[in-house]
Amino acid sequence: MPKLKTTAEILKIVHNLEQVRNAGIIAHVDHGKTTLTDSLLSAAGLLSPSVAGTALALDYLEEEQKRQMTIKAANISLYYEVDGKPYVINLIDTPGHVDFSGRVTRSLRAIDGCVVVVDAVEEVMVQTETVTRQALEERVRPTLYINKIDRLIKELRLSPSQVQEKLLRIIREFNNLIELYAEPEFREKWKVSPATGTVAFGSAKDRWGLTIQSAQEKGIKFSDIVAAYQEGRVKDLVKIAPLHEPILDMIIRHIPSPLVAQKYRIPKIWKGDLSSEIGKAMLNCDPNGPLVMCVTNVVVDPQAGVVATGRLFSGTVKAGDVVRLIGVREDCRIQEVCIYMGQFREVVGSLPAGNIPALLGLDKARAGETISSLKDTVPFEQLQYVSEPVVTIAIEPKHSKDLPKLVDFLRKLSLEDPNLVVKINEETGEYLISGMGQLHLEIATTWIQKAGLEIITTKPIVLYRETVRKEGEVFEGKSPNKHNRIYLKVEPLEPEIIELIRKGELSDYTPRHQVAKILREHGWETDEARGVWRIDEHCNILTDVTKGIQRLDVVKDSIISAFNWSIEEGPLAYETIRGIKVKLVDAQIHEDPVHTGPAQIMPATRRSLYASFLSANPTLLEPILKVTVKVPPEQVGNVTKIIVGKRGKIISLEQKEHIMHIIGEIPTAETFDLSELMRSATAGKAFWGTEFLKWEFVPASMVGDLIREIRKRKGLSPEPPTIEDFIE
Amino acid sequence: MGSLTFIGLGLHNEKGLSLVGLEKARKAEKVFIETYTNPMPHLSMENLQKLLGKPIVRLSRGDLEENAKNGILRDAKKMDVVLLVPGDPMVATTHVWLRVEALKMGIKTEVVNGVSVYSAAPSVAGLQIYKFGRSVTIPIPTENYKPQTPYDVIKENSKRGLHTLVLLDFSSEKNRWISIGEGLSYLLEIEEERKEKVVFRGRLAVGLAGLGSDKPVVKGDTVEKLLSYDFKLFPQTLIFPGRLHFMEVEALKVFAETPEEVLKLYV
Repeated sequence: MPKLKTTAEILKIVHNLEQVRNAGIIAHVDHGKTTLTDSLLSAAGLLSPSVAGTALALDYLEEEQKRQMTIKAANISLYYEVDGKPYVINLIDTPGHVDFSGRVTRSLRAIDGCVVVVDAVEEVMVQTETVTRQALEERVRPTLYINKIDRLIKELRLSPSQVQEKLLRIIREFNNLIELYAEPEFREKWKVSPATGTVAFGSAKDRWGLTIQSAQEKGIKFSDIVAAYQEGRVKDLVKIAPLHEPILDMIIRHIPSPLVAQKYRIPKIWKGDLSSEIGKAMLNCDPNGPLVMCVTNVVVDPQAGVVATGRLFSGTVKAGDVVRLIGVREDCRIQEVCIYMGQFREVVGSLPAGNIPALLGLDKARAGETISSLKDTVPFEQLQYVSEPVVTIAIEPKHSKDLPKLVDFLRKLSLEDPNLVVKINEETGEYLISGMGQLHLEIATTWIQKAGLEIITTKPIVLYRETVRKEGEVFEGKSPNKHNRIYLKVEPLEPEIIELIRKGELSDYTPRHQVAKILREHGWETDEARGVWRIDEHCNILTDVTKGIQRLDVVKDSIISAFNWSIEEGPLAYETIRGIKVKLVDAQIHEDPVHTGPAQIMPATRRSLYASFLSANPTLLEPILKVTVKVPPEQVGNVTKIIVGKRGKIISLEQKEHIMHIIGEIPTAETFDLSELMRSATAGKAFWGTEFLKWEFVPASMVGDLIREIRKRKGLSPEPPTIEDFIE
Repeated sequence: MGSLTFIGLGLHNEKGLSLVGLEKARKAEKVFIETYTNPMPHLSMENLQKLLGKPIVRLSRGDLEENAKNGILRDAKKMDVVLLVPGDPMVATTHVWLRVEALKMGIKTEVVNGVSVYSAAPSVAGLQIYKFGRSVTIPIPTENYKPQTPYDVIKENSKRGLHTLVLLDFSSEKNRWISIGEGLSYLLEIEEERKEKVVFRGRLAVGLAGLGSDKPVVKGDTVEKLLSYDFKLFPQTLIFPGRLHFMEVEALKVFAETPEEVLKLYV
């Protein structure tokens, strides 16, 4: 049963941070995250009397349980008592599939620890590894829950000793991840073990769960569990060993309170000065310090409008406060401060540091935004994206009258999930949605259909990138009125710099003196390193190496805008440009500002950039997916044949116990029928998954045809432009 | 063999066209006009076509910049072409590039001057042309483009005791002029940020409107006063006087009804 508490009772608890835990559940897709969350919510979810007052709400909850719907709340607060002391646990939503990795990483920032769910049958999978690694990189302490024990007994018919063996193997594999990815100081401390109570196992579907200790205390042996299934007494098992007990116990005992966690997490996740007022306040989780909150989730509620949820690291947030949105550089007034009661929001007026407030009224807030009471607060480092949008589909309403509704819904979707990019093709009027994989887009279209909109979608299209392979020449770009001349030079950006940008260690937010320092360390000339004007999220840099050019300040913004505009659509096929360094080497700017507006400077800049780009051995990059497959040894041949047949490579082949682990890579363009092929080749016996791995040059023999194909699809003339098209 | 003749239209209406210009335009095989930096609201295309006895084709900025080689210059290669331009064809909106390109293509060119704001404004205000420094235009500001160059130019000229002619932009895309009031506000905003006492509320400025018409409006006063003065006609222009010659003081008093106490500070 949900826990009926008044908001006042809960507020009293959350003011004492020792009684607060901020946690998340992370897992490989289909390993049981949703079932576990639902189970916890129905057993320990908080319910305020105002919601409970309507019997309808309770019915609604039950209905949701029956249908096993994922409750899409940014946060769910639970209530549990350990040793007679009450605790509030915030379970922050972490999206389940790695196609949403951007979002997983973002929500990791808000939590101090997590429960990693691993399917006992499939064991540690590729996304288990990815999400665990991400958690460790954010100094989020992991605990382990091994799920679907019922399948070991009912489907695999393992004996009690075999079950035990399997569990130990999973624990070993999981600890290997910690050994591999945790920082030295946490490596030993954070390894999980049944002896310390950091491992639980059970069945989320059947709602029972145990740790080794609780099993001992309750006198339950593996043979009892096996017997319960064989004799149809699972219900009795649920009564003595309900799932939420070991999980919540594990969270409260092993995941630190915000007070403890912020001391070692802030130095990792925030790059500002730790000895500053704001730094000290965050380290100490000080409710009297300046306000600093990191927004991890934004949704548009039909009644409340924009709801920004996140972790308050310092200060006390109050309704009516005017705060700074650091990213958009604007001030905004907070209309309401809410706390989560279960999955519902209750207005509370104010909340202290360490908690997870939901703020209303911040219309410009986006997931990833840093909110502060001080204007010059260093934002949380740009969120690290493991994946980038690589697949796109065109979408249109079945009935044209639905277009405004669809547009509205798409806007909302892209707002709630910044990894979903919505664009309009100006030429054709098509709406294009890009995501991190086929599944990501399937989920998005399902949401649209659930909202009652009938839509037509095209087959998924792979997104390519344009880049260069050698240093280009300098070309003069003239403005339309011929009064201005811009001279740019395009070069390939060094792979290690691209990596720094991808990881968020180098970005437009990095203070410029630090940018200069980092780039000099990587071999850049001083004037190049100092002149950086723009570092964009597609891993390109614009730098000014000119000296003493008159009136350059007047046109700087226009040149940067033109750089952004050119990056969005490269000259080869109007695909995004990636991995180039653009140097401004000279410029001649007219005396009178009426001749140097954006309409003049932007085309001049773009012409020079495109011409130099085309002289730099331009080519396309394609997204490569990493594919991980687990199969019985006799199927290995079939699987490797598929991978190799798809322009793929086998990276490693390893036997673990009785299962072969195959890791390979395949270009995304070749993966759209992979499901069918895998199924028919292995009689459905392969467990497999994919995730974005890297960008790779399209084979030279394919580039020409590919460019023509993309251009035709976009309604462009099939042949790409030449340098002469941009210069005179 | 074709030719390209640039003819200035003067500032107000079709009557600003000189007799030389009229004669040449009448003889031309094809007549174009451009009005994208000054739409000349008082010019009647109908009257002008009647005067010339032939149709006139209006060209856009793109026709004269990006697409000139495939348009007007191609025509001028084959026949005698005239381009009518507000003001003087080579002064405010410069068509120098077009003339250079035409010559490079072997096209004969000619320029028939027209009255430009550069002579009309000092002339009507009674200020002496050899005491002007660099001139500057205030562009229509956008979110991303609000250059401080006009402020800098006024500052440099003032330091050397020179007058500044400040042109006020017209945007054909937005179909909008900047008024004297807006131009002054633009400068006052920069003053507020930089506080270098260049354009302050008590400073003398001269506003001019309807140059080239029968009744041009000329008013000299403090920036403060000019902000709310109704100049009625467009286009409008500003002058920020530097040090004044005694003859200029007299002129500003008589031609521009400038209050004496304001003038005193500039002698």
